[in-house]
Amino acid sequence: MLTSAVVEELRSIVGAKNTLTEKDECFDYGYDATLKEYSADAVVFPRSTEEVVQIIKLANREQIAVISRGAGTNLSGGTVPHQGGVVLNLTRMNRVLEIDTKNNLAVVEPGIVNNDFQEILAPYGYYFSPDPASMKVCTIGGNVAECAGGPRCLKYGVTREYIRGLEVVLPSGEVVVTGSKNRFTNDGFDLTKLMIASEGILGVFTKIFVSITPMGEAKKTMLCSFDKIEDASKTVANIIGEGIVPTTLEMMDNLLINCAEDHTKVGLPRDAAAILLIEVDGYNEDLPRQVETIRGVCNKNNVREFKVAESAAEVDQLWVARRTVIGAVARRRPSYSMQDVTVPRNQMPAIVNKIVEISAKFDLPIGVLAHAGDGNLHPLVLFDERDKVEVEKVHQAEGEICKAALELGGTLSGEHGIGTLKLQYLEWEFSKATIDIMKGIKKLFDPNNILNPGKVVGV
Amino acid sequence: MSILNTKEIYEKLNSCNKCGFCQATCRVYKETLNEFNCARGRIKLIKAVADGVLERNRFYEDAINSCTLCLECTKTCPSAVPTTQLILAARQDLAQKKGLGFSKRIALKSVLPNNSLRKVSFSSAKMVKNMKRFHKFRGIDVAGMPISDESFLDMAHRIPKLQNPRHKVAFFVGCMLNHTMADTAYNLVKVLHANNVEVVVPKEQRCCGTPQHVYGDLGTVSALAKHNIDLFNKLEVDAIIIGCASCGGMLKTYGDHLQTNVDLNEEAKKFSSKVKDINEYLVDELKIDLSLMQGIYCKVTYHDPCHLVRAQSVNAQPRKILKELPGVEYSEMHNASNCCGAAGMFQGYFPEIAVPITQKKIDDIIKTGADTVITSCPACKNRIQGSLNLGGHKHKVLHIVDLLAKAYELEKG
Amino acid sequence: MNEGFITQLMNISEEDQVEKVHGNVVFFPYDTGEVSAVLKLAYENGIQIFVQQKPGNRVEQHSGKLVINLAKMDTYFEIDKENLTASVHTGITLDRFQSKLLEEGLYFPPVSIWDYDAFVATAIATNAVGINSGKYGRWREYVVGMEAVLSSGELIELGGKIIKYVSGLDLMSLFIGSQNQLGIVSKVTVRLLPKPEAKRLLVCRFASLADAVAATDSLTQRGLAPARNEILSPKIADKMEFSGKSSGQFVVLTEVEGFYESLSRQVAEIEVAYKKFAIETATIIEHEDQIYRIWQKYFDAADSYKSNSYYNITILPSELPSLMGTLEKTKNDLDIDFEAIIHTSIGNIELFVDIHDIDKLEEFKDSLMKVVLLLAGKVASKKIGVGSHISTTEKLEEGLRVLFDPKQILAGKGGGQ
Repeated sequence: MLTSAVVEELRSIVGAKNTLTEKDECFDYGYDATLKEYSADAVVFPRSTEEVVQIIKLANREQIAVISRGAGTNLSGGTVPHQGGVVLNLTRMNRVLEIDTKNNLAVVEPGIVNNDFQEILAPYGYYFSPDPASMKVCTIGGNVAECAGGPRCLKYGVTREYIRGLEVVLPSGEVVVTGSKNRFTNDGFDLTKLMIASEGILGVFTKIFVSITPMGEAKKTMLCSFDKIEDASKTVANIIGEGIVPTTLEMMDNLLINCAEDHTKVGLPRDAAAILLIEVDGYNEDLPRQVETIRGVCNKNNVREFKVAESAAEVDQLWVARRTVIGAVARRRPSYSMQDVTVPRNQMPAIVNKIVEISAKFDLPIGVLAHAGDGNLHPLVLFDERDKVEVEKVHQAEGEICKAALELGGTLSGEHGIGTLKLQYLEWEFSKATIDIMKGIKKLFDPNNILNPGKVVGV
Repeated sequence: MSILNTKEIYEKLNSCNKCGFCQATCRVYKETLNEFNCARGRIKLIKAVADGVLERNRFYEDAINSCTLCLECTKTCPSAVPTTQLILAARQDLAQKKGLGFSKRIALKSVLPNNSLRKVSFSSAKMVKNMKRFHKFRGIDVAGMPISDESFLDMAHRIPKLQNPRHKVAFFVGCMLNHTMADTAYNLVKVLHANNVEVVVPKEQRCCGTPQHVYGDLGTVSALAKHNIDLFNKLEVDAIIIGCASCGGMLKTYGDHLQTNVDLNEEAKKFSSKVKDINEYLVDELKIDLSLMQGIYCKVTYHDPCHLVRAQSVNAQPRKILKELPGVEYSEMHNASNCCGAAGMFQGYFPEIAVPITQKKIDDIIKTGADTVITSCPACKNRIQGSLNLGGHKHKVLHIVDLLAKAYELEKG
Repeated sequence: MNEGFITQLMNISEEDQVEKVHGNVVFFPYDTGEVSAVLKLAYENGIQIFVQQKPGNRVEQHSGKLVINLAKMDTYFEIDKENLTASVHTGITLDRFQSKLLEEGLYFPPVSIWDYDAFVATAIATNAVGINSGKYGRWREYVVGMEAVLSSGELIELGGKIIKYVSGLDLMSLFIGSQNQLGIVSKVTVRLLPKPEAKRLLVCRFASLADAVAATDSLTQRGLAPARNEILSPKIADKMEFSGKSSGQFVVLTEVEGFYESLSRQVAEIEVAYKKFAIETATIIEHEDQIYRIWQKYFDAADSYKSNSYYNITILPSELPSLMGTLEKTKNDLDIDFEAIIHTSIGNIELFVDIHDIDKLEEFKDSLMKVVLLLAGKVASKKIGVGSHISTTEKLEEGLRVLFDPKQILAGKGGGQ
């Protein structure tokens, strides 16, 4: 609980309109897109770096936990105030400060919604490459804090590759600029990248220098359905073997095909075991041959149907189906637990088999959604959080999925982060020395442990 | 037991998996950026009330009442969580547990359902609006708000009879058209007449029940529904025509709102199956051909009323009319289906949210370069026209039948 | 260096692994385990470490340190075509690393212009920029897994053959570019790309630097993104011995790559763009071997200049014309000479100044610093920004050094290279 003096001070920093302190008002800031729900002691909405500095200094002086938050779409329990504290909601710092097409550069505040930024860039003929499924609501600040991926990152890389520099408020309240507007800044340790994917435990981003990209000339979107999920996984590895790096190589299994189809009614094949959504982009004249090569690979792997989207509207619909499918699983069971494991691409068939086994073993429906080209899987375990026995089984299944991925040479998280949910598995992935170093970094940056305490590395 | 704890509602409260995608389309959230203003946040609060964790206090009431019921979240939700239904349940729960409050009680229970009281109150409103201090009230252009000298139902007896009509329809006019846009209501009749369709207007028709429904007074809704069903089902007509999006949405779902016997449900089905929005009727049933009409020269854009585009899925028909009308240059508005910010009493209760929502609509209108905005809902029309007036813009907002009536008049010479 | 330490070192190594040169002890580990063992030993004895950049022996200035030479860690080379990754010990040299991948028909974009005879470890330690980096990024964008050894000998294993990875804090990004101050990276896994189907190299000559800079700058405006786009000043170009042409011209090397179908259009569009800027000649080279040979000549020419007094300047690409314009003016005012290589796509300039007059050199330096500052660029690894920011950053960096290497035995700041 906060003292009334602290509450008063918060209010004087950001103004009464930007402070929530009543228990009820804070109620909705205790959760993210996972099952975790806690209670924040206060919520503040700063509008400038200076306000963030003052809040952080106050928190550091009073040793109050501060949890940065954007849209609250986090999938690893990273933005929940699990030990109470002040939620620092950055959604009202949502301006685009600069667009410089001569240098493929833009400067934004952290609270801008990814898709709003895309809409602002579009008239310039530019886009921002990171495109997480939640791009219509998630903020760029959140994208940086998690190092968000997205379908496009198979060819174009994750958020990390698009961040040139950051203005960061450190836990001490000091402000630093890491990196610069230049594409590459080599001056000492790469603190910019250390900040990226640090999930709010090292600093608060107040300005973000990003690379933007001119829109490509053309693209082709393909929908391929398979009777066997192994055939789909093999297709993935073979396509890249043919010298083609698609922009996107997404996979959905039967359960998810049906959830997506319930929501969007775009005509996905409800009886297919798996579909691949494949997109290639580039110069107009280069695409037909690439499409034919991919068709050939699919045929070799017993594709049932191979369809090239005819119109932009058709492409959009397919993407809506893909982007909304995670939300759509509540049509089957009210709760889901989603993993974010990543394995070497050639281990896709093995991990998919393993997930099917785990699903049978625990008698839980598990849908498989994968950025298959990246080897990044989102197994969705469906259940009802009110059934305590089932919840226990879900936790065991989660653990087995993580263990299986690590045994196949993979990682716990490809793009969602560790947060609170995967912390318990961290020691399966890293040696004690490695975790100690990570903890040491947290303590170095944040000696009073005020920023998002207890997350990611568990300090 | 509160309605929130009934199995039907409580299960739905648990069906939100908090993905947060509702933030993308919630106009209120976009303005306030407060989590408790988007569907996910509101559902969490309602669930907390149902679980007894949260009290029904002022904060909660505001969170529940600051929804425009535009249905965007319900359409956006990947899991199809019916947030609008849950908000309405929460409001019903509030009405039961805390009462409607004085002003809502008078307006919803006494004035709106009663034809003569309603008439008196609109006449007095006319006096009030001419008082200078009320010219602009909470961002609403009160002075510019139309109130007809003679209500449509009062002039309905003057509607001529047709000789050999090809169809016969009934017209459910609704309170807003009746009192604030009687001329528009009459234009709707003229348009149907021009197509050789006879129009009957039962004078005893009452409020459709929407205002009561949105604030949880379901008893009054049921009574009004029963009255209107009885009245219209007695008529031998092919269709029941609506010129107001909200009335249409309500009338098409009367079956869901009856609290009485089962027999009436069949009656409700019969009634609802005949209900047609005027756009729907003209395009889908009459298949009107406008291509040979005289040209009316204007540049128009179209605003989709929430309760037409989302509640009734009517959006292609008005566009077809506007694109076919000779002389009319049609320009599609960016975000044409975004809520205009009126939302019944919402605009009066939450001006700090409603005004910026409307401003975005105004900006989108201006960017089209159109001089005339066409819509199909009196509430949207009044809201948008009022805000254009306050902003010093010369644009005219017309109901689609106003434009059509003019076209048919030109045709007659 | 005390004898006890040397005896202990001899105990853990074979005969061919330890050499004494100019009073230094050089240790040649075979694998990560040996790097770990030797660091542990040095840590316990408080012996300073120097990691050698290249296979050769040029270590006189580091007496009293234990020199680690990775030259024997050069046999492990695993190419995984299914996952498109390569894993190597970091003692392999960059040119061997590249040529082996080329033989296998694979593509590793960060191609170093300098020091291609250095160890992979050196590229990691510097996060080397390559001539393709504008389009493809630096080493960081390609390293997906590593083994690093802390000064205490503790092994840190990160990532794997996985191209997306956000588990825990990003230690890989700290090791890459850390100049071996945080630890020694002994093994890496990098992701590869399929080799582009075809390439075209345009060798173009411009009468003036201003034209060359403006011409390359105009490509961005036209949405053209060549894989490589380099400007060479006349004397450097001369060293490449292009046949039959007189000197005095600025050479622009523009390479495009991709699929056959679109290549000729790309080349044509570049030619159209360049024609607006008084291009003198343009030769288009299609043969892969021939293209390869030209680049080799370019690397050699650049390497031969490296010992000259030189500045590395980074600036936003759109500021290149103003920067180069000002430098040309200074050159004329001071009546001096400089040669330049400009990596246009990343706004990076390597400037070689051949001035023996100290005063003139100082004057040149002052004017260079002034214009770079004015255009918000930076020179070499000098930090930019507000003073207080820099001191805070330096404090954090110092903290990281102590955290990773509590006894500070890995070469001090900047000394590792």
